[in-house]
Amino acid sequence: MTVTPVTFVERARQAVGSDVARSNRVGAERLAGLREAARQAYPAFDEMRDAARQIRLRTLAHLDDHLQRFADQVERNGGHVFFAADGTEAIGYIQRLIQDRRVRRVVKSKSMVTEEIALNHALEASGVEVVETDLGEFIIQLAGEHPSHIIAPAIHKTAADVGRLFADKLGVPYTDDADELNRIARAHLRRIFLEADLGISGVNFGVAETGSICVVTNEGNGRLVTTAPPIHVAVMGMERVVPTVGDLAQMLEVLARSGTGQGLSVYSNIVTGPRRVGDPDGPDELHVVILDNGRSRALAADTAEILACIRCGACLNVCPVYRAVGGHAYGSVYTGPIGAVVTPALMGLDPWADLPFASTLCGACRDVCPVRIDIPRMLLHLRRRAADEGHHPFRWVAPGLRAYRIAATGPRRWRTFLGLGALAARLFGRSGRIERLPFHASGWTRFRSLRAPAKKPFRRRWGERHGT
Amino acid sequence: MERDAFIARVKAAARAARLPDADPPGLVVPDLPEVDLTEAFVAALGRVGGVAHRDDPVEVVLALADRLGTSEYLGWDDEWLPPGVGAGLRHGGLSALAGDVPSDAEGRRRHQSGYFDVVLGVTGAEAGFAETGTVVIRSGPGRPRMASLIPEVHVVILAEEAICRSLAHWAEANAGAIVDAANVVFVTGPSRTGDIEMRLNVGVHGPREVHVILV
Repeated sequence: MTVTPVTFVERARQAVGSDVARSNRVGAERLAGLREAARQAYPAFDEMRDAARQIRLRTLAHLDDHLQRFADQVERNGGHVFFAADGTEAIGYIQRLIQDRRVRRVVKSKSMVTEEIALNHALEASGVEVVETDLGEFIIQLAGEHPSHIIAPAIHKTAADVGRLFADKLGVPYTDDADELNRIARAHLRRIFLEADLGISGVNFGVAETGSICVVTNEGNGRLVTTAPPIHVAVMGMERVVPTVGDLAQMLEVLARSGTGQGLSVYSNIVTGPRRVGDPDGPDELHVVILDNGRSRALAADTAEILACIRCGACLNVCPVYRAVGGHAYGSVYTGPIGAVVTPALMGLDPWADLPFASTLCGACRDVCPVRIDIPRMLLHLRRRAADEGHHPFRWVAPGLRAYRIAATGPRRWRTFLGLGALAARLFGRSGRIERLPFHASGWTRFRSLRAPAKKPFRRRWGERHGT
Repeated sequence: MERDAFIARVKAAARAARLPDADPPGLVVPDLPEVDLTEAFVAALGRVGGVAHRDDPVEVVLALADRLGTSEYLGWDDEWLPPGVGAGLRHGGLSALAGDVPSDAEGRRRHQSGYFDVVLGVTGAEAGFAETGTVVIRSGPGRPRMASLIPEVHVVILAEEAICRSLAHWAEANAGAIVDAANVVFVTGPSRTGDIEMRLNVGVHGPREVHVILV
């Protein structure tokens, strides 16, 4: 995972008003609208979210048992299982496989977990060609950038941007017609799919009772990657398992509705082992790489609930902070409210301690979450931990609150404090509005003015009227 | 990492986690309004950009082939399609492409290279979901996965009585059947993307058109 040394505030300052942030906002508002329409159109939706939440939390509480069962079933179906403690182990396993099988070309479908461990970069460094096949990811890879949204990675690119990129990198005539760009990508990627040596997918859900993996896509690249090449490698975050096929159905019922407002994604592809005797096509080998990479750390801490996340992206779309700064400001592959929790929960607070503060705690994320994760509560846990560990990004907050406590715990001190406040208000709010505050308080007035407090405080008016 | 060590670490973490330990509620099968399943399926399929037909399957497929200017299709073997469909297509001048991919790497590559220009795919389906316009397609001997995936136009032949209310309704009755095949896919309309400026675009990797013939 890319570690950026600058703080969230600095990244956000650069991002506000940028094209990336603007297009992120437009896309996010649209997806949020589609999700709301789907919720209203499906009366059982909220009941299903409750059930989905119960399934996810119950599974996490017994994750070791479900993982054992899942791994046993994958092997019984003829697949291989590798347990990777971290990204390095996962990459090492895949690299050994690539060497053993003399793989030259790898095709990938979109997967956050492979982004998390920077798999492409590692494989390319060892001389293998890795092609991203999700249209958005393909565009991002050609541009050498990072995704800005969990489910719409190139949401910040215009058709003209893509047209210039394709003309430059693929040697095709420039066009900004989205349909034509689509056709160019289809033709270019099709040849690569059909001749690739190995396909790498993520896993939306692993089913413990059957050893099945489910890969959900709209474009169909998730099916091609798991069908055309002779070897399929599925990289799965260890929290992705659900106990039964019924549970899988329950999760699919809420996933697409939350992410894009679709009843179901176009393809919910369920793979149970490699190609069987008599099967006309499909991969001959299946390898499932189960990744920890900080997840057991998150599970053991007060952030366990965040592992219930099914990566639908709904929380990004409603988040006022994400809408203002866009995905890139988070500096991590996981963006938005979920990223502000997942990134420090998996990777530790150093250097991600400022992400839990990148939120207004308004709770919109919790309201739309398909598994009702209490994201604001997780953010508060992480903020407390950050403060305990000395990571607090706003150093004046703690001494400021200490001063406030002293002022607020004695009647005389409190009256003095209010008197100072009234004096300050008269000083800064002569026109009836406070236009500019000094020092650390300047942030409050940078983009707005505040109404100045009344000349005669409420306490005194109350006293005059009621004689207390 | 060794499996035992990995699992032990997960176990310790799961025991330390403060998570509710109640039994999950089981599959919630929603109490949806009563509808005519076929009509609802046709409407939902239309909403996701698919096309429903009620005419004779052979005539529908031949008309599509004519429009596409092709004389071949990649499809399920005759025995997996309704009786007479395979023979009818051949009688109408369509030939079936071989769907069996060799197991050796070179043979696979050579065979699959031939799929580059396939424009027509014909398959059956074992179920439909009225709520979402979805079809359930199970791979296996005589039923290549590529037939519903690689062509520009995918034709599905679905028995009306196989339409159920929703995914949850189907899963309640058929969950065990998932393990019977290496691949089961729920297909909901044509392949689509919104990756360029959030504008809907169909056929980016999978079929650009999905036609469901109800029989």
